Amino acid sequence: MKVLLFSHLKYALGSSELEVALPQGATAADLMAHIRGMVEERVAGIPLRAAVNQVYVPDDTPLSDGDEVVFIPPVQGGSSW
Amino acid sequence: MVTTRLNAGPLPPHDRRPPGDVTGAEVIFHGRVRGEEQGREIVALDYEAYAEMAEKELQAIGEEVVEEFSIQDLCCDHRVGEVPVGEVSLRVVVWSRHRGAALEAVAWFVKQLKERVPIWKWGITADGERFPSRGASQAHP
Repeated sequence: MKVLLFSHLKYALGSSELEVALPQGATAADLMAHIRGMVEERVAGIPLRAAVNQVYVPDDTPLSDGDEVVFIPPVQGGSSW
Repeated sequence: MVTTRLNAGPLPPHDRRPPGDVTGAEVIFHGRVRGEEQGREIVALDYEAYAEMAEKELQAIGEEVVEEFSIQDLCCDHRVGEVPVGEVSLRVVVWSRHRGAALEAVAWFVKQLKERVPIWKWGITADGERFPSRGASQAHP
């Protein structure tokens, strides 16, 4: 499946896209763990939120071939006025 | 009608008219690029967007604002790509019958935008280094 990379993940992996093969029944959490394993401490402490086909989803969402997956690091930040 | 757009260049002039004769308040918010990001001096921000999802989220938030607050309409333009320090990167316009609803609505809209819309900031320094911003909140909602 196709994983699009933005922000810290793009910076850490030096690429804007990855193709990843996972076993059938794999979830967004499985794929997230796989990606975190590739970048290790370079994204340590940075929360990631899964989006599949442009919609935020829970981490236990099963993935299908052909899904477009993005792990979204914190966006622009909303706490400073 | 709620209008939200991503703009690859400078924002078009604001030329939308109030939605009707019963509009008493028009609140315009401009977000500008500061010359500092994460304690580092910068010359510009590069706004990186997951464009298809960002457009959907922006529109959804705009429609939620109209439902939640007593406002008449909302228009939002967000720049993507490189924006020099001092320039406007975000414009939100809200119209309502009275000022209170419009002021509350614009604050809520911007807060939601910064938590949910997948647009990220990359700082650009004078010597051309680019670094991803960690964002202000460091956490998802």
